[in-house]
Amino acid sequence: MTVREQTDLHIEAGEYGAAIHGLREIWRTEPGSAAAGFVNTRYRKLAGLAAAGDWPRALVQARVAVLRSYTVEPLLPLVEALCWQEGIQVQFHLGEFNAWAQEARDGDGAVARFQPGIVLLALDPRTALPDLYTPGGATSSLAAVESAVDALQRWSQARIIVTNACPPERLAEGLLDSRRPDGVREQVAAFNSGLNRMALARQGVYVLDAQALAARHGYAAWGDARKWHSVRQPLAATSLLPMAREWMRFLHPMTGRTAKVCVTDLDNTLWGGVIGEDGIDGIRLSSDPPGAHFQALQQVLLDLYRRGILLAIASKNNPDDALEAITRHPDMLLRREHFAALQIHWHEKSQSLRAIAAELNLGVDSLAFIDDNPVERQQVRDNVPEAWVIELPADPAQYAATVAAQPFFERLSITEEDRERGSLYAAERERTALRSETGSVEEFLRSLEQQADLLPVTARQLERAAQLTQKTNQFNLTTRRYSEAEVAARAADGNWIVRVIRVRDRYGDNGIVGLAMVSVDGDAAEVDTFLLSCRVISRGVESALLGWLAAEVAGRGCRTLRGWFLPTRKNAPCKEFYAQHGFQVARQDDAGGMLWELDVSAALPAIPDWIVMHTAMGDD
Amino acid sequence: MSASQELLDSIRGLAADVLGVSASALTAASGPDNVEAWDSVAHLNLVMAAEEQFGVSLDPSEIEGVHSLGELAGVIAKHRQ
Repeated sequence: MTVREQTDLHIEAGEYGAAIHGLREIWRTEPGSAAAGFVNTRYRKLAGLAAAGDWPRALVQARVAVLRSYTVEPLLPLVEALCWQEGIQVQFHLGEFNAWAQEARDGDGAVARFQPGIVLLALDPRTALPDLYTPGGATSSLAAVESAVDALQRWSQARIIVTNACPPERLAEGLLDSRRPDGVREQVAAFNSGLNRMALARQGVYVLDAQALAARHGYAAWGDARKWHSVRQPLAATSLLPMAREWMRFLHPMTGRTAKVCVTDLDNTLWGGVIGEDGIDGIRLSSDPPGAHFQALQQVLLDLYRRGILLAIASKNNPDDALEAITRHPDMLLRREHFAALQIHWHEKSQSLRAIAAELNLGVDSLAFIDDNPVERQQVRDNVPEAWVIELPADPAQYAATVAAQPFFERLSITEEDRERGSLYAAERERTALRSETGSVEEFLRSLEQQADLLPVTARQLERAAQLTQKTNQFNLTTRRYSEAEVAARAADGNWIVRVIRVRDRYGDNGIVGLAMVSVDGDAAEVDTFLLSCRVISRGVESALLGWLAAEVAGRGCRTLRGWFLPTRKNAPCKEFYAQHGFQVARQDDAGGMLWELDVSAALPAIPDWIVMHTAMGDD
Repeated sequence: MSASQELLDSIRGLAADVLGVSASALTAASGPDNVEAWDSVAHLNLVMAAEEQFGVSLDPSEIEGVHSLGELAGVIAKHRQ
């Protein structure tokens, strides 16, 4: 029996978890247009049947409108399959052929009614911007795209992805094109760099570098002139999957499907050879071959570390051998301080991953795993299906490129907090050490000497505020995900109270770690969003934030402060939050959501006296 | 099993995937006229899936001229010769 037949039998028998496992294996082993058709039809069926626990990762929704000047239809099944594989349930709205400019301006049309969270402008200059391929054509082409983006942003808060331009297949003037300042190649370069500047000047606008992608695969093999001339489909069949993967580099961070930790093996992964047998002088690691491939992988991991992704080790080794290499080998790029957690022993790797997640206070679905050994990879895949297991190719020369290309390591923005994350975790290790030294919990909290700044959300905090809604899972009462534009709209609305909280303590600045958004309507206020980074949970910060909010809405004349707790697979840590602060249940919905209420004219939740609160009205 | 039968079988499997139907419901005579899911978008997807899988690239006239799985198998066999 084939895996396909077996999967269909699982679905018929109601064994949905096993069916999903089968679909993941089919896609992993033979990703392509054919498998996409198979897995998509089954996944769509399962979306209505399977229970939350059958999915390795809780499903998230993505609504993607594709406004286009070419036939993108063959791409969509591949993107959908890649999304299902990641637990993203994507819905597409496909614009009419080459109607992108009108659709972008139509705030009442079919695209607007679809209410996209993401809009992709998939433009081929040959149909969308024919001027671009004529001398001097960059300016008008750029203006056309810019005005479409601006028009879209007038009626939509969707994130916008715009594809850039490839040079034409042939230059009409041949070599002469380069002999005139307004030549076509020059126009394409000017258009592409203008597009980047356009995106940088706007919130939530990004450029998909189609030109670099095509160049990397080779222009000659990338396109298919026959399909372009017959059905306006520009890509060769073999280019569809690489293009779909390029879309995913945006869809991952836009849907919050990102890895926060990269867990790596050591032997034959971070260096060549086995430390326990070859010794520190025998392992291969250097700037020359054959050690160079391993150093290149270390460089990629160092890049991830600087992007705010934590590194951790899961290795079967004697800890002393491994640590000696990490601290003493002259060609290691990664040292002890780069790793937030170490699991070096002889237990199963799946166990190591769970221990790392627990130590870092993250879910196992935040972990990505690198290991040269296919057996270890399978062991993790089978036992920690939530984690990402990176398929390392057999050839170490390809390790670096493979890891660097993983879409779940992509970020669309980076904040100060991200860049400092590695050292923040080092400070956290010290705090943990203090906790075990001091006696009572309260004594420990007092010893932290915490100071909290409550700040209105201005342009400076916007990026971080939106990012918190995207990434916070555990202490998040409603888990509503917002774009920067959506947070900005609420912050600017006089009927909303929107604050971020920044926490400092004797070990350093934790940065902006929480967000609250409350809408005020007459004598009642409702908490729309209340979340806190797991770094500072259980230190009284959540009580301080709630206490301040209650006092603030009372000061505005409200009698009632209410708020939903909407359960997800992750947010059990804050389930009792409202109850612990004197709120009463007012209502319950079918999905287990609970609406809590507090009479703020009677009593206010106390602000712990070991936290010094500062409130600022302006940008500090 | 003959080479052409083998090719037809793998194309039936491919078409079952792309069209979201069971392979056992498809024969050499299956085409847009008798398979409901086989519309113009599915036709293009099917051709491109076949191109990807068999490493060939079909002419526009061939793409238009294919009206059944048997004909698709014939065109692909011609390109692979």
